Amino acid sequence: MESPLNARAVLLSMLMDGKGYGLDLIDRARKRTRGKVTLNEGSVYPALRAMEEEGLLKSFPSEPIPERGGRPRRYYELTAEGRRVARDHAKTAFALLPPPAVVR
Amino acid sequence: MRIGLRDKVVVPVPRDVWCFPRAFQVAQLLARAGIRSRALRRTLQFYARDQAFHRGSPLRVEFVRFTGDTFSMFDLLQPPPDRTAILLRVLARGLPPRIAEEEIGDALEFRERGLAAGLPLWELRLGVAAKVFWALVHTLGHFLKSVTGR
Repeated sequence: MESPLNARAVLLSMLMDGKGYGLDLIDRARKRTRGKVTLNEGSVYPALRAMEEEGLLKSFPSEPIPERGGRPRRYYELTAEGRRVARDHAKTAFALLPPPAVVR
Repeated sequence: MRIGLRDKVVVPVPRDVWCFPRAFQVAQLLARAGIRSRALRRTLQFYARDQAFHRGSPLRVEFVRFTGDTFSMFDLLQPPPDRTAILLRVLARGLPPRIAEEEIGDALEFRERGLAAGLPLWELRLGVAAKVFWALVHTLGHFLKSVTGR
């Protein structure tokens, strides 16, 4: 099993919240982890494309957006298989945490 | 004399200037009028270089008007052309469509958001340069993949 904290796992986890595009997913990861996880473009886009080829994600373009020079955003969302893999990653990450101490 | 980009400037024009002044003439005129704002001079020189009287262009350069023996420079609210955005658009033409759409589009959006949020220019430039670098690396990967099939 691959590490639960690689770019793929983080992207899958971010996409559990709903569709997103490259820049937005990088921002979401940074905000949600309060800056502890910073994805870079070098890993994000190849990971997104690879996961799409593997059938974990599907992508679709938005309407052209003026602030992007008239280019559309490319949104990604999880497929059923992607959702299952994302849940597996989340379970593995949780399993790595120490059990909570009970204070009486 | 401090002049900002919101100021309206009227500069006397010598009678022998019969067409739009060239860059060095703009500099001379501004110097003669005692205007020492470098930013204003650079903006005007940039426009004077090659965009004079292209009133129908997307840049809407309309701020120079001859009125008898003076011309007015006005409407300087119009920002100078966004050279980074132009560069990114030109670069995007040479990239595979998916990478251009996704990565260069994100770089442009990152820049727009940063400008709106008032991020320092060096930070924006660094961010855009990193995104362009990775777009070029991914383009290389794309071509290698199409050649080797892996």
